[in-house]
Amino acid sequence: MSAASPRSGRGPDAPTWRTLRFGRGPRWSLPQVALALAGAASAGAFLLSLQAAAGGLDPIWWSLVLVPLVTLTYAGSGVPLAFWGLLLVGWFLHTPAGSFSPWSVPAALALVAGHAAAALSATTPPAGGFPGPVLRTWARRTVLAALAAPAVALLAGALRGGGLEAGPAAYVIGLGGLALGVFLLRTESPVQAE
Amino acid sequence: MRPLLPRTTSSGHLGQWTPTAAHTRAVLLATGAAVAAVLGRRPDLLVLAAPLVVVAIWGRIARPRTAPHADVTLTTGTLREGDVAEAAVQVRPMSDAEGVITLAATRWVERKPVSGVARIEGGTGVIALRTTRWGRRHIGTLSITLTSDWGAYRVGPTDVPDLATATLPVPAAFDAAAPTPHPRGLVGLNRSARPGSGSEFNTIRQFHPGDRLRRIHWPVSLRTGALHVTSTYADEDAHVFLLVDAFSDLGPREGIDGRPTSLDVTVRAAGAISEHFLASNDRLTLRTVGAANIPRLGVGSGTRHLRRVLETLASIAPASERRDDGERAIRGVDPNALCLVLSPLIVPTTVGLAHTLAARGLTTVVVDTFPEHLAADPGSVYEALAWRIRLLAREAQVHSLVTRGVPVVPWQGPGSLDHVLRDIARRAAAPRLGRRR
Repeated sequence: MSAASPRSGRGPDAPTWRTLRFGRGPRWSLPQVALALAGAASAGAFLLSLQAAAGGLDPIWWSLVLVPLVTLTYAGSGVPLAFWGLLLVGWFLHTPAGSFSPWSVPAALALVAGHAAAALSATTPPAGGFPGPVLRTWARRTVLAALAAPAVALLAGALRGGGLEAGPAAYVIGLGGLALGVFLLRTESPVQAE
Repeated sequence: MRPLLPRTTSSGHLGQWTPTAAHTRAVLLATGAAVAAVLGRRPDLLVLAAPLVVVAIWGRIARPRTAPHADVTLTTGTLREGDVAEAAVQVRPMSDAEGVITLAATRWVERKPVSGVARIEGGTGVIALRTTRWGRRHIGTLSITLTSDWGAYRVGPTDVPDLATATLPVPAAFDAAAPTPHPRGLVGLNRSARPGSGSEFNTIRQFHPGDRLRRIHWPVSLRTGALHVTSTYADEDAHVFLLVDAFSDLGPREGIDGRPTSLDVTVRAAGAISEHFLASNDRLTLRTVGAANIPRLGVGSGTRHLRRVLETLASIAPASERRDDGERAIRGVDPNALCLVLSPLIVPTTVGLAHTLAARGLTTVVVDTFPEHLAADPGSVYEALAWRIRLLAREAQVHSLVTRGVPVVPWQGPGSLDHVLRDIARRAAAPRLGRRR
């Protein structure tokens, strides 16, 4: 593995990224590697949730955490689909039929985070990076989409309980999520005309 | 084959929007999990599918519906070695399009960012490039990729037609304090042999009708009782004929930041000499030997002619016309011109041309542009031996030129020609034997 740093010179104020090279492959920018790590972390979080929901997990499943790192080159292909499809099948097989585990909420968050990481990685060549505004935009979108999971979980929990009454904890979680969503989706106030 | 002309604008349609693997993934995972949840009565799978349903619907609703068009503009088509230009991409009609520009790596073009990848934000993107060696070239293939929200739809990567630049050589530092021999013209800074309007003092003589009143020399006029004026030598321009040897390009090509090749030295020296003489209002002619498709540049002077000279030098492709005997290049040279032959003196044809010019009675000076580092740092014993043999042959050629009376001066930047030009001026002013009539 070798590292290279950009040369200095005049030009536009575009950020330059350090790059890594794995063997003879292309150069990967650190943001791209960070996205692969985020994908691996998402897979780990999903498997943790699955272990908690199922009450145990074969250790061989933990090796799947490495898949997003190993398949770094294939973020824009069908490999992430096969990977996350496999994890969903694993959830379907390991959790008891007819059950509803609250651990499905963090698993859903991990799933959408892993999807977003792979999708964002595929928008840029390996050596490209992501400036702060792009990362913030994607983070807001991901959080907004992820808010659907606790909402559906609350609804499913209410339906399973035979009524739609929610407890105080549900109100707190719901209002907190709403406040978080409003905070993340806020926009700059319009500039006053002089 | 015509020389490559600078091209600073380019545009093209980028194609249609197509769904990406990310969008397909969101749709299939959401659908699959939702169906399994309903069929298997598994509400937890519905929870897992919910964010992906949002992602899939969001990506679909926010997809762009118009085919984009891109305009690429290069800030300048003609630049000097080491200069930086910017390629700006404007996407129409989408002012909020996001994506990336990718500039392929090309020799003698450095990219900034070095990865050659820059982002398009708000419909515009900029990538900078720096050319590191003189010449005319394409800047590299520019590809544009646009993506919609969630990376759900994509256009490209689409290549736009190549842009091209002309990189002019950076003239080496050069200055000459010695006058140019044989001035003959109307304007210039060289002192001619005849009296006229100028700045160099000639003599004090009696007033003639037409003399300027401010030229009256009052002390002599009062002492002699008759009006006397100060007369000067006329300032005139000279004609400089540059012959550039493009038969060979010796040494590793490292660009402006590295060691020069023999042709780098030749071209930069030609640029520097041209800049110096044209700044002095002298006339200059440039001819090349050993390079194909070089436009024939006539006599000219001034800044615009300097630009033409540098553009001609940038068009040189080394050793592209090995059958050139140079006769066409030295045809019709002004008899009063100062002929400067810039050559590394490796190819005998150029040495022969210098002999021919001298034999025609032209004032000829050979500027040796052989870079010393070539022979000083040989890579192997065999290379050292080869250079030794070649340099011995070269010494013989140089000696033959010197024997004929053609000075051979190594190119050393400022003052390279001072000594030899002074010698030529002194020789021209010396008394000569003439036949009495």
